[in-house]
Amino acid sequence: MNDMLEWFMLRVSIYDFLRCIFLFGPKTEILASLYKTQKNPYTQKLSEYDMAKISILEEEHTRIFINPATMSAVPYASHYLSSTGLLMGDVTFSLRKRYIELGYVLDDRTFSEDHVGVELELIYLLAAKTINALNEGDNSKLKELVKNQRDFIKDHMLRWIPAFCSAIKNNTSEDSFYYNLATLLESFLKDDAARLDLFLTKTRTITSL
Amino acid sequence: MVNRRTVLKGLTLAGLGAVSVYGYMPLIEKFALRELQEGEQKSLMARPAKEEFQVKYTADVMCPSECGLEVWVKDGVAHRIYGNYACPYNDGAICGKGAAGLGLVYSPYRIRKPMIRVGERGEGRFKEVSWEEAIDYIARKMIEIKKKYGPESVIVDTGDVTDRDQYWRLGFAFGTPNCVEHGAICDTPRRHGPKLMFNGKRIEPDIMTPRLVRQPDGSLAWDRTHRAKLIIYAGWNPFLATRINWESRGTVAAKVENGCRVIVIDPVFSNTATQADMWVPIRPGTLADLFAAMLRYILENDDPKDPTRRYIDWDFKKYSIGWEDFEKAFREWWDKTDPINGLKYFTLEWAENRTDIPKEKIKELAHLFGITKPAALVWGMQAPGHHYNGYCASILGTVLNVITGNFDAPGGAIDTEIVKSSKGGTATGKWMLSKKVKRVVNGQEVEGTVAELHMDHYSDWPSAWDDVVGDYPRRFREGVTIRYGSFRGHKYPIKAYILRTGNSVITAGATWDWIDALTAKEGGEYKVELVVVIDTIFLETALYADVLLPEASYLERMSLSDIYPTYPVIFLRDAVIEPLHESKKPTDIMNMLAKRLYELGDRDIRPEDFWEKYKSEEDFVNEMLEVAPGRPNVGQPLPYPQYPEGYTIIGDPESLEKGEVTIDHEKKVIRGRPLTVKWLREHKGVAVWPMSWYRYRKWDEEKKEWVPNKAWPPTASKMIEFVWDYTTTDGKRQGMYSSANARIEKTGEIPRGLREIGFEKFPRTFYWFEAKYNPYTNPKVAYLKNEYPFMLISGRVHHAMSGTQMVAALGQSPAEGTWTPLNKEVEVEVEDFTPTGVITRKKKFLEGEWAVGTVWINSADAAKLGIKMGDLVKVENHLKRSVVGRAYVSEAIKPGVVKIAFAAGGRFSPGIGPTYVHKDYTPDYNMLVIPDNLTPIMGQPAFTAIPVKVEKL
Ligand code: SF4
Repeated sequence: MNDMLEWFMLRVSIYDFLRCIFLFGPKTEILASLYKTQKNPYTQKLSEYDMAKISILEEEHTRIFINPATMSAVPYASHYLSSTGLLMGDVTFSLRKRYIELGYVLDDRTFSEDHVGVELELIYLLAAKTINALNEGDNSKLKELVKNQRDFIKDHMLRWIPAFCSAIKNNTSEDSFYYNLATLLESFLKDDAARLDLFLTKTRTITSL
Repeated sequence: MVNRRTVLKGLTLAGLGAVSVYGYMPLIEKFALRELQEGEQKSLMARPAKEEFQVKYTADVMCPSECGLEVWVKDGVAHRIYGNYACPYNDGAICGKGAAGLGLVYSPYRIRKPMIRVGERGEGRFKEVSWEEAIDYIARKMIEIKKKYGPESVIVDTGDVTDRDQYWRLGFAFGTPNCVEHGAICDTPRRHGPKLMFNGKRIEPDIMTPRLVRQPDGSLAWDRTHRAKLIIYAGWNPFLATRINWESRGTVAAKVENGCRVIVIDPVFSNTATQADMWVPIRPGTLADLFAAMLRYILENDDPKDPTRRYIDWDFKKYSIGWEDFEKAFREWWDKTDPINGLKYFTLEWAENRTDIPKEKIKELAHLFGITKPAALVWGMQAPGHHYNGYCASILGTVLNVITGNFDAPGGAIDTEIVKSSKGGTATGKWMLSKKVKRVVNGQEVEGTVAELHMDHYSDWPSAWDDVVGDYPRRFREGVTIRYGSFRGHKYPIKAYILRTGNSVITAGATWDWIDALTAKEGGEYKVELVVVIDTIFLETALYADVLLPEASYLERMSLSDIYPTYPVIFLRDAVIEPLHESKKPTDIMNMLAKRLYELGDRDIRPEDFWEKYKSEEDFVNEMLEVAPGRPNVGQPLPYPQYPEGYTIIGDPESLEKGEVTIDHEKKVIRGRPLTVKWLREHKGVAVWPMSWYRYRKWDEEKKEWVPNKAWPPTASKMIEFVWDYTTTDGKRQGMYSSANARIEKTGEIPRGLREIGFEKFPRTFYWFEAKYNPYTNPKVAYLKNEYPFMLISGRVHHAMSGTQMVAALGQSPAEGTWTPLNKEVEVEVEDFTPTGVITRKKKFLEGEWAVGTVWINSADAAKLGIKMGDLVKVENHLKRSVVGRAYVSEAIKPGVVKIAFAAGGRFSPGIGPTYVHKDYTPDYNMLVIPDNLTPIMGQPAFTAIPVKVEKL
């Protein structure tokens, strides 16, 4: 099952890319990584983007996610999941607890736990740990890590990311970077959840990978 | 934290040649999350699942009431907002808007990060940048402007009065005297009478309860007694417009508990009028006329021997100067004939003709006010506060309160400005204005103070006190010519406009004029080279900014309430939660910008005045508190009988009470321990000092009578002044207008406003002039009423002001005729109140389900024009500027008047929430404001009483 190994590797880089692009905006080093990432159906479209136009992306990023006058996709889970639609409510609080259970805490208070980039960062960090577990041949740790990630994606992220992604798509043109980024985010999360599911149900040990 | 090595190690050891295959390493070595240390997880998890709420005390900013709040905080998050019972200002009560504040604080539509404009001004296109980048951009531009044009080319406008001191301090240090506040465009004519006569600002009825009062046995007790017998609210709508929490509470309580009569004079049957015993509709713009007739009636009919006509309490003469001069000047008009109606000035007939109030009614008002004691005559922010000749009204109103013996009497009329606690002190940095600077004027180098560069005081508006002025768009276009003082002849342009909160484009004058000025170009560049907006929420003016800085919301920053109480009380605006997103506190923004200016070589900025001095906002607020309460120990019952009468009191209430003070007999100061943030926090955020009345007099044991205490009011003579430019027996020139007049005399330069009304200098006592655009009182514009037969007025809707419509539930609540559910069908996200909190959901609103700004018109007028409720109408002024809106047709507005609420419609910032959706068929009032209609004494726009025509579309 080299496939699964490759998937584990691929997801590290894709989650890193995703967390960075949402946390820090379109920076050259983030975009440049797309060229280097192993060929895959997810980032293909994005890697065709003309890097010379990065300033357009910066403006787009602000337009879609930051500028209150134009913001079409609120990048916070609370906005979609809480009864209030406001930030810093129960959704954020329960995420905070969940992060602690998984061994993390949010120190940078300019973000909040339910920001899309922070959630993606959590998966990224766990994905990297997964590789370590693979390395070390720690079977039970591996399973636990994979299960945690799958659960977080399935029972939390996939509850709001599709709505978030369609909000992006509704306000961008089909060939634009952010439209394709939304496609990537949603489809990758769904596929990843399925793959992790499969891994958990089918794979017994590391050697059987 | 996961570091790069761990990941790399993982990838390499996986034996897949990961690095070479994927070329992988963390793209950015910065993580929002941190991996927990050994044991840390356990301790974090071990916290009780349901952590207790912490109760924190702070002050609202959702309206000028600034009520004391109690905020319930858990795990760093504010969950509930209640009123603070320890705060007598609101006595535990808050309104729905205050309770809904979390909808604003936790709205995802706040300004979350610094941004720099990428498109043209007005397009609303921005790019996220770091704070460093944003501050660097502003600092470089400021320095460039300073080098090219001088620091005075920068205006720092703290649109909101609260929490402004940090920005002013920075402006003053940078070298510009042009630091202004919201007062710049608000109600200056209303404040003028109190200012001239007692160095005051706003007269309010004595109905603020509870008050702390010294008892005969020396103890202090809360007094809840209502003594007011009559309150006349003229053009003042405290129930709906400018909310002063205690005033709406107190009005009802005074009625119920003391049988107080309430009279409302207003062209519309306002929310306040619903609580009144008598509603007197008046023609817009004629309050001065009514007050003048009341004064004439009282003077002509007063009879000290007849108890039914004992209007005047002649004792007032003991405590004042210049009455004879005032009365003479006033009487001089009595025989003159008014060209508009051929009647003698200030007679009942004359006033009837101009105000459209029957003369019997005017007589009744004058008589009632004269005979009922205690009483208060209170006038408003819109009328006469936004009238061209509102100055005359506020002077006459002040005189009426004084001569009837109601000024500072129990149950009477209190000037809140001169009794409230002082704050700010040296923190504001006004002392920096006396710094000497040099300028080359007409080829010659001259030296003067920074203050002498002021764009108003030393230029077109020498009596624009209290940091007020209003003709910005003109300033932006024409620049400033210094006409008085050392720099006479010096010219400079306005090149930077730094706006901190506030929303000038919608509220500070004609919207189209502001937009024009902010977008005007010269040689391909914007004429005003730098526009910065610092705010928590994104209002229209932000669309025109070059740089946007996110400021911490009111729950995230520390400052002091800025309020209108009837005695000294101050409460803390505490930071009850940490700033969200990338927003920063004013103190941090000040320090950051100061530091960058310094790093770029600006040596007017000294580290010891900023970041070295203020390590935290608490340091800054403590300095602001050093002067509190700063009021003299005067009045009955004497606040501190244990201390000398007339001495200034400084210190926290506790130390003053315990006698832990030092007394400086030379300076006449009693100093307890300075009030601090710490002290306030230990006392639920509130400091209250005792109230007294008749604060202008003291008992003379020898004479066995009351005499002026010569310690208060804070005028030059320490008496009530009916003359405003006079020479004392020892040859000193005094009075509120004296220094401006001295400047005028020295230079022969008549200020533009005075020239417009035919004055050569500021009058030494009573004066009268007609409104520029009132066709019913000014013969020069009488022709206007043919084509523009309606008078347009405005007024606020408390819960639909500026940014607060963002909390949609508030915006939805109907109020009077100007904010009613005349909406078109629309689907929007709304927040609804439920017992458990605020709920956001998408909701379809059918017609008639959502409150929007309307055009309020009388039924008879509407019938004549064929207008029915909800019809789309156009309102147009003589400049052919127009707005459209749906008509609200009712009897509750005087015929011939139309009313549009201030800032309620035509709101074109999408950041403002659902109100935006209705912008195309709701009216922006200020589109109809006439730019050259500046009130002539201080330069503030005359926002209200504008001739218009109405047309059905
Ligand atoms: S009256 Fe004003 S200050 Fe008081 S709670 Fe309401 S909005 Fe806040």
